Amino acid sequence: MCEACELNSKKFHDRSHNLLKMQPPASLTPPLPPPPVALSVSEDVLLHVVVFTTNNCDDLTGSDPRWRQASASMMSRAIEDATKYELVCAMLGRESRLRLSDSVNACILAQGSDAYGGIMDRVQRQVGTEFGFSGAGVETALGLLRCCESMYATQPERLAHVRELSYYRKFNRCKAGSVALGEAPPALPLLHRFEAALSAVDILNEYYFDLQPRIPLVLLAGSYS
Amino acid sequence: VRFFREWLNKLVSAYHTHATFVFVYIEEAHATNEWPMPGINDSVCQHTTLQERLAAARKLTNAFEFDPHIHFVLDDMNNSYNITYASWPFRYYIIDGGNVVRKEMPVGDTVSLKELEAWLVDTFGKV
Repeated sequence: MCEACELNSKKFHDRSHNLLKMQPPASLTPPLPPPPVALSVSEDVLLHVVVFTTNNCDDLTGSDPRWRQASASMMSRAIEDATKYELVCAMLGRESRLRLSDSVNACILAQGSDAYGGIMDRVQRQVGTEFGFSGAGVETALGLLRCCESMYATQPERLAHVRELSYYRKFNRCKAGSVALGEAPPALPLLHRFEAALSAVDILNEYYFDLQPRIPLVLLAGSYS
Repeated sequence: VRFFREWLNKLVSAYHTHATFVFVYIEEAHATNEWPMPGINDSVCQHTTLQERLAAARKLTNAFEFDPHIHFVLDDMNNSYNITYASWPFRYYIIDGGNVVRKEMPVGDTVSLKELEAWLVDTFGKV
């Protein structure tokens, strides 16, 4: 310890220092992490938030205040973006679990499939509430759940992930298709008969052009479910 | 399909001499292992073989009576029909004079044959 230190230290006490009891100066105490966000997100998400918000970027910012400010702004956006993505993923996971839960299934059975849309709306609102949204904020939660594909439309990895998390997106095969009104239908693939050992059949030729060439064809498609 | 089966049967019964009705059995809309829908499907998983698709189609036609003038066929396991005609979960086309004249699918949760019926009545008169 140099003389100056010793001199200063004697402002506090007269005895020699016990190095084992030395505390760091108050100015070097690391800042407390921010209070947990007021959302009922999973621990994984909270951990992610804390890690992001306690990381500093001093090594990158240098001493130029403009650069520091710009960098802080970028970091802030990055934190906000990453946090929102983690939140959306956690909400989508919860939504899928709720949709597939016994209680929701029982509700659908009791109310019938016509009530499906209303029940799923209630499920999504519940997810919003569970994640800390309230009042008008629940609409924000609904927006996050319902618009997640649009939000990540330009980020292929995230888009694929949010689709994977929502089974009703993952298995949704609904497409507008390219068949155009007023134009000739695209060539039909060979389809299979129920009978005749699943032999393939050319529908357009057999049922339309060959057998009854002058009457319209009504082409329906669907499944048991 | 089961929900408008009676409506479809009625139309086919009335107009089968005026139009050919073909039903293509495609991928399940609400397979139990994908997108379960209690009360609608408690047993049919997504088909992985043509035999499984045939079994699902037979389950439909055995459980519910369809007009015999509907020609049932199966999409292949590459789902070629559905890829070309984008028909999942349900859709129908009317092809007349070599062109597609109607292209209908559910609006929201509602499947309707109203447009088909209107077209048949407009084209052939009330039968």
